[in-house]
Amino acid sequence: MGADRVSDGTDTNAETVEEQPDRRPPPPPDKPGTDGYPSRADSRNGAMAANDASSQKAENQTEDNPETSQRSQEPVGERDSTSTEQPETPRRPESNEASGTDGGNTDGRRTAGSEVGTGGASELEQRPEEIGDVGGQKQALDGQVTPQDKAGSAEAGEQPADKRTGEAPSTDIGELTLADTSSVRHTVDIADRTSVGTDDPVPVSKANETPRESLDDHRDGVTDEASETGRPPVAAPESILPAGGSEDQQRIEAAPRSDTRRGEDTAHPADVETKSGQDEQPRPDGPTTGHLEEMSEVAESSEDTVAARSDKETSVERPEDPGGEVASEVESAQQAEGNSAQSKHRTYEFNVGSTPIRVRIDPVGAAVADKTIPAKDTEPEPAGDRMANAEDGKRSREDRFRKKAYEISDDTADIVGEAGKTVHDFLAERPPTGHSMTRSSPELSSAPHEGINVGDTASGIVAAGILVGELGYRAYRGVRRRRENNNAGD
Amino acid sequence: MPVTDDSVATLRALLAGESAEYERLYGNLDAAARRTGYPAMIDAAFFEAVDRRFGKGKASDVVEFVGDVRSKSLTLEEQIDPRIAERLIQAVLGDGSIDDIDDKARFSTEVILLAVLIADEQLDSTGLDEFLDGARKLADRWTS
Repeated sequence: MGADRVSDGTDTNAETVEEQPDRRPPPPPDKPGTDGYPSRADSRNGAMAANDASSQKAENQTEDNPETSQRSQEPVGERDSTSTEQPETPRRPESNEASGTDGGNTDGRRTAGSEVGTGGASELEQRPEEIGDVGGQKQALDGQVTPQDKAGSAEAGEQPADKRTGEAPSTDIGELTLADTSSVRHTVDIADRTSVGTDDPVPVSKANETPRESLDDHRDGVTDEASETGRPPVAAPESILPAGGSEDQQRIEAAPRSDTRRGEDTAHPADVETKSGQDEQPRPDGPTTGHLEEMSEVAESSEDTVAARSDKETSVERPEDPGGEVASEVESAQQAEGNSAQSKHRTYEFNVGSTPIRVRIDPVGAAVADKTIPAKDTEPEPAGDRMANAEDGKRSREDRFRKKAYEISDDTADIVGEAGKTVHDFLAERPPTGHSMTRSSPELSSAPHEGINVGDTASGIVAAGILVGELGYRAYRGVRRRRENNNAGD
Repeated sequence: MPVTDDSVATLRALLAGESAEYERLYGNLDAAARRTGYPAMIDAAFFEAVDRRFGKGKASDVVEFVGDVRSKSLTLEEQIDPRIAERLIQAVLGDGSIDDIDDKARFSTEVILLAVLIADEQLDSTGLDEFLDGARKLADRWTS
């Protein structure tokens, strides 16, 4: 992870350097063996001597605080991100010349990130002579966080403290983004909420938890051995640093712990500077609380841009900057960073005419549905069966029905009069309504009396004729039989 | 111009079936009353009568009523346009507009329908007077 940060002479960070117009000119190239320049062996010896001194300090510090050394052996991903809790890894002096020409890396940046990835193998090149030669210029360039300042800080007496504090923030912040920003992000920015980068592997929830502990530790200024979360105790910066440790040393110890992740937030160096001030003067509770609240807001809101967060951070941390120069530098750097971040997250809205394209293409989907529940069921009645509300709308119906002005012509008046006559004709044709009568007793009806029917009479006559004829025939036969009997008797 | 007593009396004679009295009163109306007050009284009485009859009824009742009126005699069938009659009743109930109906068709149809509506209600003298009082108030409001 950090091996790619080893300087191979090409200096992949050169673009960042070129982007800074106010950058100071690089120090003179390393020319070993040339007259007037130290030899390579001298450089190695000087660097080894400086690193031995610092390594000895670190070993002493590790012995004093074994828990922090234990933490330094943890994998980088699992290591908690607090700058002051990680001991400085012993560095092995090695010249950058071995991996390439040092001319491309003359801006003083060092590949400190490889130390973590390779288990502490330092790739630093320490040239005390060069440091001494370059003097204030290199100190000004590297005075922020670079490991090379460690050697310079060992010779802290060369530079007054006020100059360091004054120039350290004024250095180009872009340098710190090369290798050290990730560590800064893990150590300081998480606590200060400023870094929620796109490539930040730290979960937001963790980022929310970390600063509270970190800030508490910073407030207390001592190591909290009995941490509730079970985390290794966080050592206060004062406890880690040697007795005579200066601000530069604090910065040096913060820098080499970086993983080589290239941070997007160039505002982190400023955080380092600000944090160094925080270590000396614990932040009051008011602003700290505000930081935490803002951090939670950032965690919830994914639409916030880095620029917006940087602005908030700058506005909060600005009062802590005594000189004001750091704030201005940080603000400019954050502004540049914010612009890049904004351009990355910028959203474009296309319009067709005056309406957005979303509304143009899918007006139904773009429209916000009315999800309010009506007070009552307003299902309309069928138009044909709709009941007229006589009382409520009578006045309005009257106004709609009436004429604007009742002024008819004479012809119309005559027609109206004729219509009256038609009405009277209609009413005269109507049958009289009359009235109904009821009897108090039941009415007895008489038997019907039917008249003589001709057919029935004829039938009766025929029947009577038949009967008379039969009777006459029988009477004749009786008389004849009697005569015959009489005749026979005679 | 407010509705005069002569206009109310004339309409009362019409609705009571007093043909001779109606012709007399109508002939005595002045020109202003015949052109303003009496039409307003007819309009208001028609509104009240329709509102009484169909105020809580259905739209289908209107069609049925117009058909019954036209079927009573050939004279009524000829003089009543069913569409105008239905639109006038629907306008009283709040549906549609009658602005496009000319005054001749409007008032002649209203007079006939009003007489049928009052005849169907079989109002006595008091009921008829109460009805005309309400119609007069409405006509006064419209003409004021």
